[in-house]
Amino acid sequence: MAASSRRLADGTYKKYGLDVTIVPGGPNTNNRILLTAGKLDFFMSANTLQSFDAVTNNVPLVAVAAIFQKDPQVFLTHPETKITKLEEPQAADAAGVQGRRRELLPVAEVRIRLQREQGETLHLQFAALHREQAERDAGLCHLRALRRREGGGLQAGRDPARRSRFQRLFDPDRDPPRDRRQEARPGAALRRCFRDRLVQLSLSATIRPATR
Amino acid sequence: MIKKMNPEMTDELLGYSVAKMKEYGIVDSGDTLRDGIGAMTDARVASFFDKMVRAGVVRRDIDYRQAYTLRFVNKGVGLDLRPKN
Repeated sequence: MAASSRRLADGTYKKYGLDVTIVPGGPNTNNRILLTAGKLDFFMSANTLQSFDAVTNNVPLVAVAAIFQKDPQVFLTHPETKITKLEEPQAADAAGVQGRRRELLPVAEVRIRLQREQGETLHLQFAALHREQAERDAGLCHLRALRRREGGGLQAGRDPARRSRFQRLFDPDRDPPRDRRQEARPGAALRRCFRDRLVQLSLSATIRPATR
Repeated sequence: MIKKMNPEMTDELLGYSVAKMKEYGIVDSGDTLRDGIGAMTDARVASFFDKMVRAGVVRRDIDYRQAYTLRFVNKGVGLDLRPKN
């Protein structure tokens, strides 16, 4: 985009007989639709998935060049959250693991580390293809089931106000949320997840003594 | 020009973006080193398609080869403009 603007500004396009107009992109525009509708001649797509999507839906679009060879993804946080690593518990909230924003975490791996009462560290790691809220709920069901199997009781942070939503969810004193199904048998949620192919979970739980 | 379209964009931010893109080889790395900017190969698209099918994102039965053409790329465009270092 920057390079295109520069070519336009320095007259390179004109030199080769091209009459180019660049229109702004961004979240408030839908230039992909404008391309399909013939209002634009070229569009810088997000990735090759969109090209596959066009074929799937019989939309006559053709990718002519891969200007970006890589598809960089970044996590953004607000400065006041002070999150610097994905491993921090608050990062799970920030990444939208429990959020309602389904556009977050398209394909992402989040590691969550929690302190247990017994002074052990429970490592949960799940790669999630969260596409829909239903999938996310299924994931939460599973995590809750795991907690029960392990005997529960996660230690809260020193300052209750700083506890993440994730930790609060795992708080044994907390009433279970009414809007989510509770699992009678630990592990049933996971099996259902796999059976229904709701989520792709690769979960590893390692219990090891915390270094004190 | 970008600054005119997006007043929030500063020279500093633009410079940062360009530096990061170069650092990570977003535009110029891998196949482009030999084939020029915009390089695409059948092998790489096939590999990506296969991965996405396995991840359940794309249907296996589509003719993914309709999604792209190599007609305009892999001609070594821009190789002569790369800084010699």
